[in-house]
Amino acid sequence: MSGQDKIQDKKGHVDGALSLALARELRQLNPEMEPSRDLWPAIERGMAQYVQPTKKRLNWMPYSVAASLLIAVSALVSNVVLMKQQTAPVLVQGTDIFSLDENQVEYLKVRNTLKDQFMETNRMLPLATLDDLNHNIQILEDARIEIESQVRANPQDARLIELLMRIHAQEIELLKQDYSKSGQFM
Amino acid sequence: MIPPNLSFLQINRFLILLATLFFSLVSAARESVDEIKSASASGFVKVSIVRGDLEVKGWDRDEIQVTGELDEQTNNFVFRVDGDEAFIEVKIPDINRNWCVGYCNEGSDLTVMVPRGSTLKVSVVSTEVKISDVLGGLDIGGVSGDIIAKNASKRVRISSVSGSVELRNAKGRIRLSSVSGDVEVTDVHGTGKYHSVSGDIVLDEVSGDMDLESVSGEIEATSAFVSVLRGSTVSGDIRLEFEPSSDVDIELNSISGSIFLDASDKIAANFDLETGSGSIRNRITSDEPRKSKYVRDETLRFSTGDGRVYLSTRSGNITIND
Repeated sequence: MSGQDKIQDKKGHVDGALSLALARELRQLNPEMEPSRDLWPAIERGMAQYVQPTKKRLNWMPYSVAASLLIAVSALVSNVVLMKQQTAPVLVQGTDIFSLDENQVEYLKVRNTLKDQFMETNRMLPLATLDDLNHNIQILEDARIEIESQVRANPQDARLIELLMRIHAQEIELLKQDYSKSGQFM
Repeated sequence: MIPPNLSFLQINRFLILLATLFFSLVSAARESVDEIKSASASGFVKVSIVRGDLEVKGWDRDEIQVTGELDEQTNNFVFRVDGDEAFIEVKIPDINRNWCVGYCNEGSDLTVMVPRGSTLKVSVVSTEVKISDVLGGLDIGGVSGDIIAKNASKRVRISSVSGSVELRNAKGRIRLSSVSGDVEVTDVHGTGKYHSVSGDIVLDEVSGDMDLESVSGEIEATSAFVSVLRGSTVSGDIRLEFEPSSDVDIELNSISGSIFLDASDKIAANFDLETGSGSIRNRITSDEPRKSKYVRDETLRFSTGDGRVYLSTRSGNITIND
């Protein structure tokens, strides 16, 4: 037996003796032994203050709000663009007859809607004033039709196209007015 | 209502008495107004009168005065000064179908004195408007009444639907328009845009850059000092008597109208004239117009200087003279 083995053997005997001594002591202890002080209030306090560790979850709320806003803004922008295209048909200089016709169709949609609104809004004006306005709306319409026919005959005439656009603007400007309420048409 | 057994003369007298009583009541219904308030020397004055007569004059006092008679259907008369802004408004009921049934002189008849440096905005429907000596700028809009403005400056914008628009002695940025009314301008200098649809445009003693446009009305300018001028009509004639500047730039177009150009002095410009089915008369040089061989049109190009004169009509005639 080597020296090392002897030490190990000796250490084993010591551990065994200690274990026996401890076992003996434990057997001699009172099984119904009370603690030296009352520990329950501290335990209850600890239980009450204990925070259950929660698993960290990803909060989707800000992302969903942001996404909703983005969709809403995109929808608004596209609607505004579409509305603008509907309410303000623009003739491009040097346009050909086909695109002029397309623009006229769009323009007439807007113009006729506005005319209906104009007649409704201003229906209570005195008949003489209303007749006067109608007469001038007719003058503008006749002028527009005449210029349109000239633009068709001379599609490259920039001055004519400018004139047509100006008549459009003048017609729309007039049809947007509400003369029935004094002071509100400025 | 009429007692029985009355002679024709008596009935007649009775009716005249009744009519007198009616008109007295109607006349009595118009309320007089005479108010004065302190105001800014260069403030903004807004006047809104639906019908009747309105005269606005500039004066040298920092006060606004309103005198005259209010519309007999006046709901509310507003005369308010808030800092630099003043509001004068005669409100009548929105439902005005009976504006002019029977006795038709029931509109407002007001004279408004404002500080000379005021900027004036007037909106009317069937109101005759006269404005003078208001120098801070004008913005006037109406439907059927005539609008006359004198002695104005800065930005002047006057528009009417069927009423005529007249401006005298003004300078600045001018913009006058009417649908069926005439546009008349005298002694006006600055950048001017004068547009009508069926009304005529008549200018006298004008200068500056001008843009003239009418669909079926005629355009006529006399004693004009022209540097840059653009004019177009569809069926109206264009007649221009002018003194050319050294760098004149004129462009006049018409579809079926004729163009007459008469300069009081030599025009130093490159001329480019064309007509579809009309003819060209050149009284400035001996250059003859060139006639197309196959289609019926005439063109004429010649040069007397660095400016530019471009005249074009599809079926009208062109005459140039100096």
